[in-house]
Amino acid sequence: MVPFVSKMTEATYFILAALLEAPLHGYGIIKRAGDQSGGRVKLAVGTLYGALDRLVEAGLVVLDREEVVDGRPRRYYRITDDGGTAVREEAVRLQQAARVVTGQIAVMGA
Amino acid sequence: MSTEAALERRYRSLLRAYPKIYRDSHGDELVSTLMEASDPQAGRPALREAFALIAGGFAARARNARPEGVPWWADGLHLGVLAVATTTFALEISIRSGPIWDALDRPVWTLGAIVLMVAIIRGWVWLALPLALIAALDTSRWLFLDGSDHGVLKVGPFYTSVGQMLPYWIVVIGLAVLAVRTGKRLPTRSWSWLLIPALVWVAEYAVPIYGFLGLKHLFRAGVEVLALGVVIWATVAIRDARWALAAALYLIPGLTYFGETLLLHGRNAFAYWGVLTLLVLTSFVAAGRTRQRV
Repeated sequence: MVPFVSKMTEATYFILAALLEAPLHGYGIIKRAGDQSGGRVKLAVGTLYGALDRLVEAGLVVLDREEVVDGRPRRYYRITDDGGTAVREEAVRLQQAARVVTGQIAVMGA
Repeated sequence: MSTEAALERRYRSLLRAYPKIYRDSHGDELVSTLMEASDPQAGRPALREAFALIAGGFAARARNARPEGVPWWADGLHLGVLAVATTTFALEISIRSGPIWDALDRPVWTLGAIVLMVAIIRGWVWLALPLALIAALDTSRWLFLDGSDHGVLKVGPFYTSVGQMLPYWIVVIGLAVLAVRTGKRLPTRSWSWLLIPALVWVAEYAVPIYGFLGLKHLFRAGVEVLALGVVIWATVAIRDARWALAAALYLIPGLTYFGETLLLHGRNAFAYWGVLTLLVLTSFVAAGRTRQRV
């Protein structure tokens, strides 16, 4: 069973979730995390890069490629296998934690 | 200057919060993302972005200060020994106002203290350890010799309480552990650590009011609370207990002295030591809670 204690902040969770489909650059991650969280997670740039540094250090994200767009550098980040496993485990943990409450609501409502 | 150029210039100013090495490798990338994420009409950074950049810059500095290949506990021990040595010598070198060459009460002690602090900063454990041992034995002479002169150096201050002698022994024990440790050698620490004794000595020498009306204690308490707040922040940023360990080493002698002289203190002293202890405990809790978080 996945433990109830989270090892991931909400921002980290949505950053990893944003990268599940394809590598993204900084602003791409901010936009996708915002969309996927229904606008709840609004990552500031300083927060995003702090989280990316930690994720790279932990081996959950790697640099995928670098491009130059309109004279500005753009780095794309890719989720690793370990990163994919970590975010899926977190999703299961959240699901189990939610079920504790939704199950009771269902019983009380019945 | 266009609005966009003004905004970029302001973002680049905020990026000074980050260490230079980080700015060199990520600065342009951060500016690129910031410009994409900003309102095209805005000439100033949003408060939220500005705060996140300052916080992110501090976190990057804290992460950047970690030496590669040195375990957290050894790094924390090194930091703790340095904090104890610099603050102890800052306060235990007596300075009198007057011509500077007459101002030092104990020139040999002062010279030894400076060499010891420099050796700790440079990570020269085998030079620092004997110097620290001499200082510890000298200041603890009351324990061994009833304070009488039996050929002991007697170059340092004379103490009669364990709490006053303890900082010197903490430095000795910390350095001894670091000396027998195997693995990568300790890094050179920032020379700005020497600002602690330098500023205190200058204040003692040049600001006569510094010694009066409890101003010294009030100032010290303020700096300590601020510094321990920064320790908590750094702990959350790097997610291990190296700074908490250093802070605990710093606190131990003071708490011991406070315990020895408990009956002499009033409510203010209890509040002061209570706050410092709480801040150090909080930094350990923060390290434990964030240790495995990403």
